[in-house]
Amino acid sequence: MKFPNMKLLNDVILDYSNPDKIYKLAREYDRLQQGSAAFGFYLRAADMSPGKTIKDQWLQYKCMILSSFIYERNGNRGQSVEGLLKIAIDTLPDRPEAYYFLAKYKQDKDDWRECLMYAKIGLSCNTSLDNSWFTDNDVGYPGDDELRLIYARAKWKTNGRDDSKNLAFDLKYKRKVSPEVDRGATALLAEHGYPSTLAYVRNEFDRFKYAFTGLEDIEKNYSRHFQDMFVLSVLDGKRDGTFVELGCGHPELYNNTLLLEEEFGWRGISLDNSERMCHIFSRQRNTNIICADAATVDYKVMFKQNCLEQHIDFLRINAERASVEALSRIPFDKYEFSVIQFQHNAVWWGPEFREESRKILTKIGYVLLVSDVSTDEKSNYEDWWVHPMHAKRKIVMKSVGKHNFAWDYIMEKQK
Amino acid sequence: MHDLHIGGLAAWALKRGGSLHPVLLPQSVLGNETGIMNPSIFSYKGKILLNIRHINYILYHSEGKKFPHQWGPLVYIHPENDVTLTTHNVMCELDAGLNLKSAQRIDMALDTGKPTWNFIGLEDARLFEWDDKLYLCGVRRDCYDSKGTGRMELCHIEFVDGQWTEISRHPIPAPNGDGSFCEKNWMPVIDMPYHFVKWCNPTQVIKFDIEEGTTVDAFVEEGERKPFGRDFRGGSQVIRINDQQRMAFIHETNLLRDPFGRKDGEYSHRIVIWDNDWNLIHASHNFHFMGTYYDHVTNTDYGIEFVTGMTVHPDNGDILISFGWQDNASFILRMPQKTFLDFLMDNR
Repeated sequence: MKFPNMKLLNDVILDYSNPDKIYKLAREYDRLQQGSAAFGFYLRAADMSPGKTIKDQWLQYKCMILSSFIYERNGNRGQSVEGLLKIAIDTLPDRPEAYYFLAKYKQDKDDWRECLMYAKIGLSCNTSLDNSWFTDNDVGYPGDDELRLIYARAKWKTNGRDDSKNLAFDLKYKRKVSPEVDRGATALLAEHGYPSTLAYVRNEFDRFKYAFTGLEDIEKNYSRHFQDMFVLSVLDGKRDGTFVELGCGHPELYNNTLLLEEEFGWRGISLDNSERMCHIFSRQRNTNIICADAATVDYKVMFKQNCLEQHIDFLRINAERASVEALSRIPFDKYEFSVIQFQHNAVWWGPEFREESRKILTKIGYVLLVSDVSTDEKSNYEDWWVHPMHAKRKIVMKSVGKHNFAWDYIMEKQK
Repeated sequence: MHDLHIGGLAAWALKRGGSLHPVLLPQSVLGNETGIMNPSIFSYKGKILLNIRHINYILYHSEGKKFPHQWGPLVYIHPENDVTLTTHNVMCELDAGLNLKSAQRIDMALDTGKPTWNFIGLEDARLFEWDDKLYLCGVRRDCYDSKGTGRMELCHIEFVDGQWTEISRHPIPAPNGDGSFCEKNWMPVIDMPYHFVKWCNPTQVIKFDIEEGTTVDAFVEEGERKPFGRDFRGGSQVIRINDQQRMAFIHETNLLRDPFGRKDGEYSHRIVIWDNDWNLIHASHNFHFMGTYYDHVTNTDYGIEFVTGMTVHPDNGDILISFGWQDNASFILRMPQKTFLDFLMDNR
């Protein structure tokens, strides 16, 4: 066994106070898996560096981090590993690397509160500091996305809620990440589920597949899985449209008509069987709210009393197990709808409601444009239909006979 | 001599035809990359052998005090669930170019009892030959009591059936009643079997009766100590350099404390020469092998180096000196004889 690069050693011997040369020798020992010698030279390089410039501090910072790796390889020296990384933070507190390695260390120890803290601080660092000394990556920092992944894990472990799912989802679907991060994010989503809401926000404008008039003015939408955006796509951002929503839920949270009403001037009727929800709705929205059981309503009377025209732009039915009964009560002989969304919840309830609804709507000529819209890659829960006239216009893509994960259907893949 | 203050003996030698050779151990021996230190080199039957002390810790020594460990500037970082500082000895064979040919942990076959103290194993062992037998002699502190009492132990080792093995073990009582707390760093006198230089200035030579297991003073220097300031402690083996003289590398320590009272230190070395009557007739200036961290404010050097072996290259007569650096690395300094002698002459 031979030391392969004697020049590195001789350079140090002849210039024993030169931190750059000592650092290179330490790197060589490290590469040769001679950890103790590498550590000794890392520490000397850090000590010999004046530490007055960013260049000096960058070298010291790397020495501390790389030394911590050696103690980790030694095994069972956690306090020293942590101590070295904390010295690194003290040296360059605005760099993310040491925070990342501390977060990772804490993750491996199941110490999720501290993991969360270090990951969060690391993510707040400004990695775009304009300084050429930060160009090397000797410490093997895998990038901010790996830190985000750790943060997502820590978020789940510390509060178990949507924050974690959103972080994992962003990594998998919104960012171009390494295969390792993609695998990690995929595993997180598989284990904990997808976010309950996949929202559109303005900075995703370029990825929205079915752009429509007025899209550029939308800051965000409200539906859980782009139901409102789909309606606007089919109707090219129609203004002053009309809607009927059976099972409207909260007036804002996950609501499918708020965007239409507020941004595009639509009006219509919303119905829900929860008195409490109707009370909240009536105080927040201009839309008429009717508190009733969707399975018992005479819709011909209701539509007439509310002066709806025979052509209505959007019908949405989400009345839980009353949905099919509600659908069967809609007076399709008197009223027509441009877009119909029917929530059948097949993933949870089985195919019975879905098949029944499809029979009804197919029989009267509506076209199933997007079948089995899904909350993730497999959880299908509703169908999106259009009037035959819109089906011919092919504004949006027809996708039938499979699960349609809402994100993939609406958004372009990350390039 | 200016060079010695800039870069130490290694730099001095490198500029004059010498070379420094790092000792690397393969992963199969090194394991989890803890320290390899205090190597003892010895030319034995035409082979170049090297015993290395492989420890279960890494020494954390922030020479400049800019990045001390949370427990101090000089700390032994052992496993957090194991407070012992454990030593294994690794026997290496080097080729003529001082590259590693083989390395194997010595089977200390006579380690049978449970350690009674937390410094375990034979530490800082020197390698040498007496009466056609190969020996290691170092300090052991794990078997005498629970307080760390240490005694030199002489271990006969052999390469048996493909394995370096301890054949016999001989604890060496301290001279004059065996009353001391810890004996260490005795220097074996290569041409005088069973004699050690315990230390010098004043020089004390011990004779060990291996059959009886007893020691007597063979020589104790009388009179005033030489004006060098500090004790001279071992050290390499003591080798004969001509009909009239013997020579060894010795070390001096400057044990320091940081502002919080935590330990720190500096080791330096000298080459000493005795006449046949054990009169110390020469001591070089003290020097470092690699150098130190020099604190300009306090005029203090910081650095840990330790020499434990010296021999003559069997092929070309070069002087080979083995030393540990920061308890974390091992090196062999090769010096052509002329370079070595020039160094000695410069140091008169």
